[in-house]
Amino acid sequence: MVQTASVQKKIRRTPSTITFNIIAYTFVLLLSIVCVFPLVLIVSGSFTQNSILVREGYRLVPAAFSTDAYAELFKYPEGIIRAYGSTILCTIIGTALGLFVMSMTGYVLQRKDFLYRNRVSFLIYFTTIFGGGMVPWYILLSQYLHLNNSYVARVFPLLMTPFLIILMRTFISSSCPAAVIESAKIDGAGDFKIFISIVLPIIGPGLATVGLFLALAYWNEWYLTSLFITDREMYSLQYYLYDMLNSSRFAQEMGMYLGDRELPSESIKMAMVVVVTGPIIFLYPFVQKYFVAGIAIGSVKG
Amino acid sequence: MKKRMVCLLLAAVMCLSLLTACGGNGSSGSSSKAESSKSGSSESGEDSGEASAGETGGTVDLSKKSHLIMWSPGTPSRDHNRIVEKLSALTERDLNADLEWNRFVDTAKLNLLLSSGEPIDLIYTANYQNYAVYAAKDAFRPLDEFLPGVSPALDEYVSDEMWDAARVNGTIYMVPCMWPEWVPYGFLWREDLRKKYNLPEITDDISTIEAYMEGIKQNEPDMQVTGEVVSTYGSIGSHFTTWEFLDRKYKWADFRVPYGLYIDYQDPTKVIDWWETEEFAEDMKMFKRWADAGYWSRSSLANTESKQNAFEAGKIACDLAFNSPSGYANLVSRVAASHPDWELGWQPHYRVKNLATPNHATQNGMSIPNSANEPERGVLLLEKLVLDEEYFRLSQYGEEGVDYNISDEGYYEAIGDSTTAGFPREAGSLWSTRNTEFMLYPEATAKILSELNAEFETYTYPNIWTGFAEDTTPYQSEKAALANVITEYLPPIQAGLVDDVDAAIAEFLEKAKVAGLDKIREEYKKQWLAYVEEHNIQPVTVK
Repeated sequence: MVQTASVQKKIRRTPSTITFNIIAYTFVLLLSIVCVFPLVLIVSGSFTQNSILVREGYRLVPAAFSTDAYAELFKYPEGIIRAYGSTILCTIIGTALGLFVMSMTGYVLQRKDFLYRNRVSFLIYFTTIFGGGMVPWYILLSQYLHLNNSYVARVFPLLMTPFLIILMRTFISSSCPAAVIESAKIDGAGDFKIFISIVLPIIGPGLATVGLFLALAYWNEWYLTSLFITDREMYSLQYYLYDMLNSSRFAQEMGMYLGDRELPSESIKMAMVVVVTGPIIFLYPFVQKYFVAGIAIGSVKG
Repeated sequence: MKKRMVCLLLAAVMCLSLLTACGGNGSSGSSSKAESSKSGSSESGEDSGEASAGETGGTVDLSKKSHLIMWSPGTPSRDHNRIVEKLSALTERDLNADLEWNRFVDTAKLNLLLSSGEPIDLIYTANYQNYAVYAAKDAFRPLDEFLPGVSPALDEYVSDEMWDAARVNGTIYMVPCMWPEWVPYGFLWREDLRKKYNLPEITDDISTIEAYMEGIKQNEPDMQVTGEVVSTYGSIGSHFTTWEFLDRKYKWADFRVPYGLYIDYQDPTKVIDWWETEEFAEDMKMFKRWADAGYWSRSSLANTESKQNAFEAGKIACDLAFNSPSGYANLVSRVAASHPDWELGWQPHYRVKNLATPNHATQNGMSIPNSANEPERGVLLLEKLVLDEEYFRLSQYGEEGVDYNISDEGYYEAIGDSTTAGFPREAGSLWSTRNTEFMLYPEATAKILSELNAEFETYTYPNIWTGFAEDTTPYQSEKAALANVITEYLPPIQAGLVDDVDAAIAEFLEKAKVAGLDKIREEYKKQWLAYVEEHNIQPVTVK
């Protein structure tokens, strides 16, 4: 222990390491500033008085502090809370279901003893290149499966994403050697037992990656809502906000009478971004440790 | 061997996917279905026509309970469902059918609805929503024979001229709105600033506007004079909004006549290649002069801020082309609250050229899609919405006593803060069922609106251009190519952000000709002249 510490000290002292560290830290610092800067601008913009924002533009610190935009957003909390609830629910259910279905598919597709695995893989891959187009897809979902105004329409279409399945298959085949599965089989484990007790724990990082992708897709989902949901109470959060913005813009353009007050047109957009990114941004720290684990496993194996 | 199999399979699936894609997009499936439903229900229409019923619905058999589906544009307001429930109670009483009222926000959704054959009994449609295109593609039910049998009242209510104007290839597919509306652009300025710096009064003379802008430039260093932007005009490419300002100068059929053509209002058979004229170059040079004087910013072409927002925030001092009398009336009442010291002025372009043209018949209307399950009741619902005061008030303004009140003077009064209302005035976006007889206006805007409309009434002439249904199939690809050229080369010229105006116009025209401008113009002129002849549009003299 002592020895390694002294070795580290020695390494740290060499001028090239110091230079490297300075450059690396400066670079990373600059990079994180570049990443954080827009976020700060957005948050400050959301707290700026709208007229000042329009006239003087964005600043790091609000020129005139105001919470009008948030007041406008949350004027009718039931609506936005309901949208939050439905989006959170769809995200959780969709991600859980999707992970389950896709990891099973990925697992089966990488099993060497599955006879038709290449053909099935090809069929899945094929859909990423060719499709029937939007209108047939819409007709199928709305007129044959009758998914109009149903939460299923917001969850179902994203469940089997070909790209994620392929990702999963590659991940399982590279991190879960066939020998391990075989030995489990010899010990008398059934297929489900193998999948649940052996494969799932090993592919944790893969699940985290795919899960994050999926959760983001569900969180950001507005397109399916715009196509299949007409009932306001079933809107997803993104579409609810989009709709809010749209209706005020629509009213303005059509010369509709809106009363004597001007709407916080610019700052409200920024407030929406804050409201929408708020919860999902907390997902990253939780998932991050799996990313780190994934990278570490890879490095150990070389 | 295996590889060959895979190749074969691939080819087979590709063919299959191609076929299905064509079927879906070409809507051949839905049109054949529509075909059969058309013949089916027109028979039933005739049958029930012979059997005389009498009361509501006249000749339509309403004995079976049914479900009506209506779509209108826009987004549902907070209390949309409450209003639909009330309306549904009315339709259940009168038409023995409950009502489902949905909204579409964008044209993509509309396209999906109409091409997927979704059952819809009544839908909003308009020229700017591609009414003519959908009608020509058989998305809507022809009304010439069908409507009078179902609803004689509607047939009578809409004037013959309006019915005629709604024809596409000789057939009526829409029930046009009878409410006359003028939506001109106009020059909007700050009268208080004009007085403050003692600038000349704004008159028909363009030099007074120039003097105003120069005065602002000199005296208000923190203000931008105007905030013109690049705006997209459907499929004809993007233009700089100074273009709309020129509407005050020309007595053309419409400034939106595409492809740089100029159709003279006073003699519709006269079609001029406007981009090539000396006047066009002069206009562009005027804009260059203004741009050089710094009336709009050098980065205007990338500006995305709405002019109205900038104006209300006091960032810009005028708007060369502010749209619509109702927009102005609302702006005045809003500004009165946020900046009581301001005074506004608006000069509609119509006033300058002494020529007003109301919206065309097809600007707002309702159609019965061919995919309707209950086309007869769809028509009856429309009759109710337009001609029955109870339906009209409920669908346009909400519930009396909950959403609005009628003042003693007969004005519309929103209940509570009008921005918090669950169903604000005309929140249903049913502009197509507006009926002059039943309409209510808020007091704040009513005066300005009625004054302006009364003024337009004195020099109004029929709209001859927007009812023209252009058939773009002969030059579809050229049109797309030209739109790209326009978007790339024209806005800098219109914004005066080029060094040499003449050279820039020459370059633009050269590129446009390569894209196929001549072919498009030739075909467009041919179609236009045929339209003029068919509708017997006569030359007029505008005083």
